[in-house]
Amino acid sequence: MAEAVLVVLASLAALYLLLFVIGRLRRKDAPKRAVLTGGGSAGHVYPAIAIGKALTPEVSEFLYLGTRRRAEEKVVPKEGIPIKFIPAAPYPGLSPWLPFFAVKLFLGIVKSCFHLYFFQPKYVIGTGGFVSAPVVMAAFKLNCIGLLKCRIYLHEQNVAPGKLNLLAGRFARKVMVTFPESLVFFRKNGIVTGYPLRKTIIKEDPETARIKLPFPDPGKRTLIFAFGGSQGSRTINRAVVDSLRFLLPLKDNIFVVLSAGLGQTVYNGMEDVRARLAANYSEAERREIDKFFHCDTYFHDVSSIFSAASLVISRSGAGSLFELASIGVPSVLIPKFGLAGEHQVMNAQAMERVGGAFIFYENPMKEDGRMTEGVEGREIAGKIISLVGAPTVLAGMRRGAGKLLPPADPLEAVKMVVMEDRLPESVKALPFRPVKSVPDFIAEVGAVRAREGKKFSIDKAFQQPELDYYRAKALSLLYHEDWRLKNLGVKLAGLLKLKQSAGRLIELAVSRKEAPLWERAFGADFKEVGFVRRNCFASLTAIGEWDDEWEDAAALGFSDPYYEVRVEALKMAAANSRRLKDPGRFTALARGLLEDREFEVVRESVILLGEIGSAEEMPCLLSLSEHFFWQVREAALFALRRMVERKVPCDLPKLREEASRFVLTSTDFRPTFGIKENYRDLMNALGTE
Amino acid sequence: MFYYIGRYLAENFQDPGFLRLLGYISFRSIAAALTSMAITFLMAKPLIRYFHKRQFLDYARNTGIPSASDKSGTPTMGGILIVVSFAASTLLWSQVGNGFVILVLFSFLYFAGLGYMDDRAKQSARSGEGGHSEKLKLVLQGLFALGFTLVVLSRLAPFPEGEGSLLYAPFFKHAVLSGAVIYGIFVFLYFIAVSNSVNITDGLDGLAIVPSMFVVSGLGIFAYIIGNSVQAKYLQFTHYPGAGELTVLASAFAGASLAFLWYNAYPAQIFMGDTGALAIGGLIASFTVLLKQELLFPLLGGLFVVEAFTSQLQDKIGVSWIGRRLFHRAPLHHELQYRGLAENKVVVRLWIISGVLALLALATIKIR
Repeated sequence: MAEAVLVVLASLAALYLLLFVIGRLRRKDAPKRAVLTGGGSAGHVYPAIAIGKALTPEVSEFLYLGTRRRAEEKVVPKEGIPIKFIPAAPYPGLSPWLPFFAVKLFLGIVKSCFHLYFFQPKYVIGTGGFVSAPVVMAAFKLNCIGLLKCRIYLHEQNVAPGKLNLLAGRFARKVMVTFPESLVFFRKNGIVTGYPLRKTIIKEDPETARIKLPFPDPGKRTLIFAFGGSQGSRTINRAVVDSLRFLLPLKDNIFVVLSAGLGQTVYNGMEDVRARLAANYSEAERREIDKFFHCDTYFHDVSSIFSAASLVISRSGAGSLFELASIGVPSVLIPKFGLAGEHQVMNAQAMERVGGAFIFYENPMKEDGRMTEGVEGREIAGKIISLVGAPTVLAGMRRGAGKLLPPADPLEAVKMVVMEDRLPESVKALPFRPVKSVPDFIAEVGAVRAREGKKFSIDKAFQQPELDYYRAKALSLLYHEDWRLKNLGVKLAGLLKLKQSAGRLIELAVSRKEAPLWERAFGADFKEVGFVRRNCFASLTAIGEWDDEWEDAAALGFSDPYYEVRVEALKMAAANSRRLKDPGRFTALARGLLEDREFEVVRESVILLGEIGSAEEMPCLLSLSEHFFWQVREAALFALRRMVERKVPCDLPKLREEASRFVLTSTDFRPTFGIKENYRDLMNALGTE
Repeated sequence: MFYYIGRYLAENFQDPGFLRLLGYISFRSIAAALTSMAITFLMAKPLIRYFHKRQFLDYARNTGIPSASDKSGTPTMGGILIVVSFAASTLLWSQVGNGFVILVLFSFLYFAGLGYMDDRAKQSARSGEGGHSEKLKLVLQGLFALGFTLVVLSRLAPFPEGEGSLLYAPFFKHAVLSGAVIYGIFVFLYFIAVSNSVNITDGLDGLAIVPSMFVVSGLGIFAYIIGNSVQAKYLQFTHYPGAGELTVLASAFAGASLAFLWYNAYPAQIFMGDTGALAIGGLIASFTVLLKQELLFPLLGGLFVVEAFTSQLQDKIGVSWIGRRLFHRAPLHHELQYRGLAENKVVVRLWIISGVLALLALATIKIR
C-alpha cells in the first residue's frame, strides 16, 4: 500500500518537473505573447481587441479565449486573432442553477489552464463579461504553482463591475477602470485609464471636419447627429423620425443626420425609418424634411461627424460615451433599461453629473395597438430646439463632456500599465452612486419618510436625476407582465406622485379580466391581482387628482370582490370627499357597504359617510353602537363627530343622548412606554447630529 | 450524572438511604425541573444586562399591526437561557448514555446552534428581516432531518427490533403504516415542518414558551407510559425500554420554560429569539418522532400547526402567487391582533387553547 502511494507521488512529482521544465523552455525563447479574454456581449470584446491592437507590435502573438455562440465567436476571427473556446456562464445568484454554474466555472478553469499552459503568455488581459473570470483564476493558479509566469490585468468598462469581474479583480495585478466612480470596488489595485477605443478618435476643427463629412455639407446649419450603434436602435430611429415634425420650423437652422443601423435580420433600421417617414408624413412634408434630414445605415468615420456636430443623440454604452467625451460633444442620452446592473443608466448618469449630457428615459408607448418602449419625438424635439437656441449651454456641455476623460490617452495608459508596469497619472476616486433596485428605493423612501414625518417631500429628500430614473422605471413597470413587478411600478407611481401614470393606474384598478381557473381555485379573482388593484387606488389617492374618470373608478372599486381594494377605494373617496361630483351616489354605495363581511370595509364606509353623509345617515351610524368590532364603533364615533363639525343640520341633544349609549369597552389599547418616550424626547432635544 | 452516582452507590453499599431515590424517574424529574428553573433564574439577570451592554437587541420587523407596541430594543437570544439550563439539568439528572436522551439532546443543541447563527447574522445586519437566507437555513435543517431520519431507521435507534419504521396513530393500538422508505420521507418532512413551527409561533411575548411547555409536558407523560412496561401494557402502547428517561428531559424543559416566562411575560424583558425557538422546535420534533407520536402532534401542538399553516398559506399562495391576502394577517396571532385584540389578550387566549388541546391529546391515552 505504502509503495503504491510512493509510486504515485513520485510520478506526480516527475510529471510536474517535466511540465515545469517544458514551460520554462517554451517561455524562454519565445516572443512576447498575450492572452486576451472577455466577452458575452460585443461591449466586452471590442475593448479587448483595442488593447490587443495597442500592444502590437511589442506583443507578437495573441490568443483569445472566449465562449461559443457569443459575440466573440464572430468578431474576433475577423480581426485576425486566433480564438479558443472555454465553457463559462454568468453568475446566476442563489438559485437552482448555482451547482451547474459551479461545474461550468470549474470546467472553464481547467480548460483555461490547458490553453494557458500550452500558450505560455506573458500577459493575460481580461475585459470582463463572465468569460474572463475563469481564465484569470486559472492564470493566477498556474502562476502560483510555477507552471506559468504572466502578469494579469483586468479592464472594467462600466461604472459598476459585474459580479465575476469583481471577484477576478482580486487576482489581477492591476484593474484598469473607465470611470473614477469604479475605484471603490478595487481599492488595492484599481487605476483609471479610460476606455480603450478601437478607432482612434481625433478631435478636429469643426470647419475642417465639415469638409470630410460623408454626407452633404450642412454649411452654417447646426449639425445634430443621432446614432444607435452599428445595429441601430429602434427607439432612437423612431424618436428622431417623430421629432422631425416639430423641427420643421427650424429647417433653415439645423441639419439632422441619423445612422439607422446595419441590422437586417433582427431589426432593419433603414426599412423602419423609411416606412415611418412614409406613414407619418405627407409627400410635401417629406420634401421639406429631405432638405434638413439625412439618413444612412452606418458611418465608419465618426471622428469628423462628432467634431462637426453640435449635439449627438445616442445610447449610453461605455464605448459611445467615451467617444463623445474624447471629442467633447454635448449629447442627449437614451440609456437602455434592464442591462446587467443597469450599467447604461449608470454610465449616462456619470455623463450627466459632469454636465455633458441630458438623459431621456424610455417610456411605454402605444404603437399600432401594442405596447412598446420609446421616447416621444416631441420631447426630443423640444430639447433640440431649446439647446440650439442656447449656445452657452452647449458650450458648457462641451466642456462637461471632456471632464469624463482621464488625463492620458486610454490606449497609451493601458500600454504603459501592461508593458512598462508603470502607472499613468492618478485620477481622484469619485463616490459610487449605484442605481438602486426598485424595492431598495421604495424601502429607502419609506425609511426617510419615517424619519422626517410630516415634513417629508420626495422632491426635497431625493435628487431630481435619481427621481427621473425611477419615474421612467415606474411607467415601464406598469406594463410589466409579472404582477409582482407591475405592483412595484404601482407603488412607485404613488410614491413619486406620477400624474402621467394615472390613466394606466385607473385602467389596472378597474380591469375585470378573469384570472386563470387554477388560480381562481385558490382564491384569485382577476388577472390584475388584488394587490395591484389595491395599490392602484392607494397610489391614485397619493397622486391626488380628481375628475369624472377617477370618480367612476372609485365607485367601481366599492364593488371589488377583494376587500382590500374596497377599503382603498373608500379611502380614496373619503380623501376627495369635497371634490365628489355626485355625493349622493357615494352615500348610497357606502350605506350598502355597512353590511359588508369585512369589518375594515364597514369601518372605512362609516368614515366616508362621516365626510359626505347627511342627517339621514345618522341613525344607521348610531345603530352601530353595539357592533362586535370596536374598530367599527370607534369609526362611527369619529364619523358622527365629523358630521357635527361639518354642521350637518340635526337634533344635537338627541344625538348626544343616543351617542351616550355606545358600547365603549374595547379589547385593545395602545400601550405607552414612558421610558422610551422620554428617551426619544431626549434624543430630539439633542438634535440629529 | 446523579443517576450513575445513585447506581454506583446501590451496587456497592448495602443501604444507600435516601440516595436510592436517584434511581427513580419521578424523583429525578422533579429535581431536574427545579434545577433548570434555578439555573435560569440565576443566569437571567446578568445575561439580560450583558445583552444590553453588547447590544444584542431585537430589531422589530414591520408586521403591519397598528397596535403593536414598541418592541425594538428588547434583548433577544434569550433562548440561551433555556438551552443552557435545559442541557445542564439534563446532564445532571438524566441517564445520559440512553439513546433517547442522546438523540433529543443532540437535535436540541443542533437547532439551538442554527438559531444562534441566525440571531447573530440578524444583529450584524441590524434588521429584523436579515438573518440567514431562508434557503441556507432550510438546507441546514434539511441535512439534520435527513441524518436524524436515517438514524431512526437504522440499528442505532433506541427502539426495540423492527419498531424503527413503524408509524403509530392516536386511537389505534397497532401501527398504521410500516415501510422504511415511506416512513423515512414522512419523518424527514415532519421534522422540518415541526422544527420551524415554533419559530413562526414565537411572535408575541410569552406566546411560544407556554404552549411549548404544554406540548413537552404532555409528551413527558407519554414517555413515562411508553417507558414503563406495566403502564405500556395496561394502556396498550408498545413498550420502549428507556423511553422513560425522556420524562426527566420534559420536566427539565418545563422548569426552564416557567423560569423563562418569568422574564418573557408581557411586556417582555427578553425574547427567546431563533436560538430558543428553533431549539424548542428541534426538541419537540425529536421527542414526537422518538415516542412515535407524530400523528398526535396536530392535536397536541394544534396551535403550532395552525400558526405554521396560516403563515405558509398566506405567504406561499396568497402573497407570492395569487397576489392577495388570504387572511387579514398571518400567522394566527397577528390575525387576532388585527381583529382588535390586545397582545396580552391574544397570548392568554392562545395559552388556554393550547392547554385544552394538550388535555384532549392526553385523553387519547385511554381511548385507543
